[in-house]
Amino acid sequence: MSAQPRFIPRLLIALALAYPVGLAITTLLPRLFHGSPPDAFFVAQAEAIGAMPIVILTLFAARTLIRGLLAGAAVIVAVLLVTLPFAALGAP
Amino acid sequence: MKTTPPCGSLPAPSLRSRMGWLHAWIGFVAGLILVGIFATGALAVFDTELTRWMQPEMPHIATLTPGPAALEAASREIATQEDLHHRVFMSLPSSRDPVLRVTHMDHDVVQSTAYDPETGAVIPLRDTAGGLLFFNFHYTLHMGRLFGVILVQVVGIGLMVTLGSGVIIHLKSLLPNLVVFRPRATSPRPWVDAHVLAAVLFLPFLFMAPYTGVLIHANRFFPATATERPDRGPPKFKPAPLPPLAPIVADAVSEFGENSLGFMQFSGKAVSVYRADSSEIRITRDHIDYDRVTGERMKLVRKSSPVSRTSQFLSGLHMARWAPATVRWLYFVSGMAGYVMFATGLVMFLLKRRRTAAARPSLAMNLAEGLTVGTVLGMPVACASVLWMNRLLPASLSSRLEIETSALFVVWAIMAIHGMGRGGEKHILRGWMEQATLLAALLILLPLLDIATRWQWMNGQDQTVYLAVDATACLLGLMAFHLRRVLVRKMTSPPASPTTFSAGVAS
Repeated sequence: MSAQPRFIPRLLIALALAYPVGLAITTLLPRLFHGSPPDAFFVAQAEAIGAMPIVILTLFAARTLIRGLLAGAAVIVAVLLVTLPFAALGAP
Repeated sequence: MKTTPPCGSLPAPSLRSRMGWLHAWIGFVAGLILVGIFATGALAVFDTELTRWMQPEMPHIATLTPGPAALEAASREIATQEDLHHRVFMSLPSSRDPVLRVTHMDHDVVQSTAYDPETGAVIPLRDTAGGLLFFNFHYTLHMGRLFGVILVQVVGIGLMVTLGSGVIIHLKSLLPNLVVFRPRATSPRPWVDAHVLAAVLFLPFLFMAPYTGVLIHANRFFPATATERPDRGPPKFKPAPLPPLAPIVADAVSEFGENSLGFMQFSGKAVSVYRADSSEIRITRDHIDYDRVTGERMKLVRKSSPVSRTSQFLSGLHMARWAPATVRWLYFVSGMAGYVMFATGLVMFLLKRRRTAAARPSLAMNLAEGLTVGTVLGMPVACASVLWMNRLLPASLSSRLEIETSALFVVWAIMAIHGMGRGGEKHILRGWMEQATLLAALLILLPLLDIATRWQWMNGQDQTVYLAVDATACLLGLMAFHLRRVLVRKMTSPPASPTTFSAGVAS
């Protein structure tokens, strides 16, 4: 029951990147968010936990690894963009 | 226009095949753990009711408001436990658990004394791991609040990846075959149908459960974002005498409402009364702090920012403590659907690989076969054996709590070893059949065990909880028995094609 070896490197890269992506979001996002620390941390956690599986899926869905990495980076930017209204206007 | 790949190079795999590979492998590895998490999660929805079933001495209690005599008796027990440097809390009576309980943590062991809320008399209940055993397994695998929780979170992320890739690979055929089940079709079609059916019908729940579950404990996953670190060690304060608790409870009732008090906690400076989690869908943990010495109200603590309310809502949605019985049953069925989805997924993963494994037998394949039967059927067998152990062990046995807890893991390990043994002998189908037989026997006979070991307390007891547990066990047992019949039929019939279950196993 051997796994197809051609997919294994990409899987390992995706798994290795998923957690740092979550860490990056939970580090960067509270700096953008104009709320109390517990609120900012919760928003960061909520977005990081959604982004991690999306990054793995994106890396795997792309035809080439480079495209996958670019798309993964786009996911992080998109997550941070979601909080821009909060950064501009403050938390409701 | 079609393009042919350059000579000597393979064509790039399609999106569906890439996602199919990811779905199969992440799903299989995570699925071996998730089957147990879903099974115990479904049981944990009724954790309080299971604890009640596991304490058959519980009398019928009509009054849910704790009287002064009960609070006085509880107060004495709290003082005793605090003197022993145990962390103590007191849960107030509710419709699900109608007694006043003083609970303390002795290292990692939770022990409680139950009081009649009206008279304050101690209700002699047996020590039991109770439904809390399944609840703790569901989110820690009994591997500790740090490592265990993080492992469950990693597996939860794996579940979300598996669901996402599954939606992508099944998207094309999803709408036309939304609710199709063909049990008499050639294998593996029934397995695929059951897998897709369980996943599609419960898809919102199956996405909600891992997302909110990981989020609840996100502080452990991302320690830098942890703002509150609960202290679970022994109290470091010198306990002052407690003020009378009856006026405190009366004041808290005037703030939160009748039957809306959850539990009380005690620190060196304050006595805190928490609002019940069942009050509304959000787990708010609103509480009032009272002065430890005088009993005067100090402050009402309530988090009400929009973000806090969202967080409380997501926790409440996962835990279902707000839910009435009908909604709890819906959660139970949804949890069982998750179990079925992963159980059929694991079987399909193996079915596909048995064809190649038949030509080239491997240790990895035997291990995978054994672990699959050992978790898909072995875990429910282990859960059922905890209920049997609860009623067969003498009620006065001092170590019964530890024995009940150990039973879950010992029986689970035996089932896994049995499965691997059958896999090694190339008789895995017999392994499935034997464990299905054992599961059916344990569950179908559970009502008899209940009546035989509870008859002396039955008179005057509210039978609802016992009836529900027994009927559910019986129903699940009949399903296991049906599975056994199907397996026996497969074992005795000649192989129809190389893709059938029996043919793959027999080779």
